[in-house]
Amino acid sequence: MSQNIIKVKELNKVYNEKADNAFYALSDIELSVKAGELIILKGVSGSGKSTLLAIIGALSKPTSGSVEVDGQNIAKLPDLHSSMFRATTIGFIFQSFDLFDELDVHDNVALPLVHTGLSQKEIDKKAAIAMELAHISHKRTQRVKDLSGGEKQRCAIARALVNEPKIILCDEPTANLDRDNALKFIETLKTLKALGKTILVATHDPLFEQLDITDAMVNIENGKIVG
Amino acid sequence: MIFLSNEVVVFLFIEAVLLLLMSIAFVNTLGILRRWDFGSTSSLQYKLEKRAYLVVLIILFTLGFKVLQLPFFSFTIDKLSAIVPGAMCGAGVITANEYGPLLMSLKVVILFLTGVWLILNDEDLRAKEYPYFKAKFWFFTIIFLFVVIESILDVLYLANISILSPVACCSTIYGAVGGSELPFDLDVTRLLVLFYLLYGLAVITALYRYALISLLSNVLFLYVSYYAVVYFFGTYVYELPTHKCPFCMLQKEYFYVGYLIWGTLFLGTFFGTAGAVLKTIMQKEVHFTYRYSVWFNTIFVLLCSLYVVVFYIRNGVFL
Amino acid sequence: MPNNAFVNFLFLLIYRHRVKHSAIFIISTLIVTLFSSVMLLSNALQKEITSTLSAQPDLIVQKIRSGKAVDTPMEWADGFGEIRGVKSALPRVFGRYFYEPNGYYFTIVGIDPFDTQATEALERLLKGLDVKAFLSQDSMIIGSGVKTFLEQYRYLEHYDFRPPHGGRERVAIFDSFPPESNIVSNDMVIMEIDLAKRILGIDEEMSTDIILTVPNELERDNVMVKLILQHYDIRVIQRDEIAKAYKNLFNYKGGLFLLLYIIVLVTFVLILYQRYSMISSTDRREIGILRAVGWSIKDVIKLKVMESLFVALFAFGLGLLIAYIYVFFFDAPLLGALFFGHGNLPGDLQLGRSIDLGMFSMLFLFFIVPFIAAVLVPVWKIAVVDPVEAMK
Repeated sequence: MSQNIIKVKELNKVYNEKADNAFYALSDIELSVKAGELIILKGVSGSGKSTLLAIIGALSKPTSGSVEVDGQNIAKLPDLHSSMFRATTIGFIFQSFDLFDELDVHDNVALPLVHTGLSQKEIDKKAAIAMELAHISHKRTQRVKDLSGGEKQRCAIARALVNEPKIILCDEPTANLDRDNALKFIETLKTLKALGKTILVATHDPLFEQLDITDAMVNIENGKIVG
Repeated sequence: MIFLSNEVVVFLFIEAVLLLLMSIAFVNTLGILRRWDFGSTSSLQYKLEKRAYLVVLIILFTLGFKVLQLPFFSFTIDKLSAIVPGAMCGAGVITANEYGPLLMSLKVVILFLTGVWLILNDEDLRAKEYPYFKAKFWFFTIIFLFVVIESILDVLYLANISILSPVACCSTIYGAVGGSELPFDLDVTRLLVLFYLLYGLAVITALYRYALISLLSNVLFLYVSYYAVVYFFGTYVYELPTHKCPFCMLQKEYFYVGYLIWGTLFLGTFFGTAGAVLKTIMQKEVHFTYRYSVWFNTIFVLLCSLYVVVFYIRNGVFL
Repeated sequence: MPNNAFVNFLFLLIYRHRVKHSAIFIISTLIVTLFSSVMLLSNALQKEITSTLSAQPDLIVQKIRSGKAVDTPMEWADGFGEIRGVKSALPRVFGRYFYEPNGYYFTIVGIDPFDTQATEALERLLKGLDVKAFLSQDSMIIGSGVKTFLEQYRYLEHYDFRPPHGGRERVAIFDSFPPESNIVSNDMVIMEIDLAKRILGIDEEMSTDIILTVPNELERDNVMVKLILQHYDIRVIQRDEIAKAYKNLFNYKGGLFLLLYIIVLVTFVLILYQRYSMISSTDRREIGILRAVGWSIKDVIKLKVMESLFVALFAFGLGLLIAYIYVFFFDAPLLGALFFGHGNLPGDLQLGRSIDLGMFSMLFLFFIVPFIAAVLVPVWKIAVVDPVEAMK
């Protein structure tokens, strides 16, 4: 019943393609993910897992191959459409949170909706729901630069949820967190999975190895999927 | 030296800035057109796609301000009429030498092409595989060519306005003294009948989206409207039967109503004709242009008629 | 159409980055203030002069010898008066008098208090004059600028003129014009016609020129031909020509300034370009974040262009406001002096407060176009940064 929401075929990403020092960040990647699955992409830093996430999130373009996400071929979309795709389908959570330090939590969470044409009222409503989900509502008027690491991440999670995406991409989500907060994050993942989100986590944190909610573990080494 | 007049200096300076920017866009366009291959996934192609954004940005900016430059140009020459001997309004100044009327028509043509380009660009960005990408950039190179000619004419025209030898005023040009010069041997009554008939035709063809007939009727409507405004409706704006001039109504004394009259006429006929032109370039129907055409043409006709009606109500007679 | 949320976010960003924008904002405001002041001033002066000149005679006749205007016989006026279409022909006496203490010129105008005055302006100025008292001794009525200078040297009751033929002419100060009258009366000294002739060194039967009133505009060319038939050695000046000559003068002063000003503007634009081209890593990261959460290149360009446009518009508005107040409420100190080339006396004039649509759009285009032009390329450069790289 559940179809493949992500289908990656013969994917290559090459830097300096025509030069002597051509570098294969990803080669011959084949990956299928069903809707609602939680997939762990495992590998050391520089193995290419972040690049793969960026390509699935239409944030960077593959050199060759096809990437079909949620029924759309995103390998060769003009910017206007790939942005629209990101805005409606994808939620990103980054290692260094990547928030606007000068803005408060609410404004950061609202960021993905600001350009969409929704009214301020609707945006505030959606942002409130997302902040509730991520347990950060109590800090909504605080500036991000005054938050702790864990709070920053919850703010980032709320931002990733605010556009109600089908797919959530997490890039080393626990690398900047202490153990307590990392465990809290895993609790959040469970909630998200229960909500039916498709989740991809790129990580080398051993914490994710014995996770009971994981549907598949994919090992990446030197830009190739192994095992 | 007419070049030391404030408005002229500002006008030419802005034209120069816009031309400079357009030249940057033009050089980039040539590079993009030469190496563009949407099917390719090379980093070169991605670079070109990004570069195209610069070109589009510059074109949007320059064309947008070109649109503002046209009324400013009318204002400038209107202002010059205070310096050029004999001129009472822009009509005298624009006919001060042979470049003037040519320049004015070219500016209107460029404005028209600009409008077409803007719609084309919008349609292109909305589609998923840049279907009109090459078309719009070729189209831009044509506009650029026109703009270069326009800039040359700008300088030639302004340089050749003499502030010593007198020019004719509008009453001489538009024949208040001699017989009026209506086309096809029309008299004013027939001109008006034709005016309203063509308006009706333009509206009907727009409502039923007959691209080609709409194009023809709007071109004719534009032509007839010009004469109708100068030789009939204008006299009601001025409330003087002998005052026949397309420029004086741009002045403050008439509440700048000329900008509104000529603006709505241009927009109405532009949208009326753009449909057919876009259909040819894109091989696809664009529907919203017809709706706008009806709106602007109607505003134009109502505005003109209103002057006559109000005059009649106030004075109980026609001019 | 940017929606509310977009604008809110825009303002939020500008507010948060206000320190970054402030330098550009201040310089922009100064630049707008400078050129708006000059343009407003020159425009107001032009208007002032036009309205003054509308009170000028239709035709002026001067006798010409070897290409220069010389004194014109008064009797000619009778001949001119008989030409059909001429309503009146009046000889005028006026000239410039060098005021030594300050090195300035006064304009002496001779009048016949019993006759109609040569111009409506004069007529208005002299309305209600007590002729008897005025003629009881050699006396004069002076403009406010003249008054200021005379008072500086304690000439409170009278002044001793020195005619070209030697000797002295003591003339009592009878009255002075109110300062708001206008530019032309500022340096004016009005006195009885024979006295004026003595001081200016004009022979008794001569006048400076003869003015004609020709009410019908279409008749003027005809009249001019007949004038030349009567006397071959004359020059006829039409009022419209004077107006245009004045306009030329003022327009060109403004124009010359504009040319210099363009150099300033270009420099400013280059600075702006440099300033906006410096993209800090924080800026790059912010753009990377926006792109990652679904903003397109177009959205980012829109945001950045509007950010600059907002700064530019605000600076323009403020600059224009300052200029308006400076010119029309404070009568443009310093700058004003540059423009009063001919009225070399301190000008206590009230400028007519006006700014028309054309003026406004000219100032607007002149500032906004180069400003935005300068930021286009930098804006594009930052908008197309690779989001993945930018966030590293």
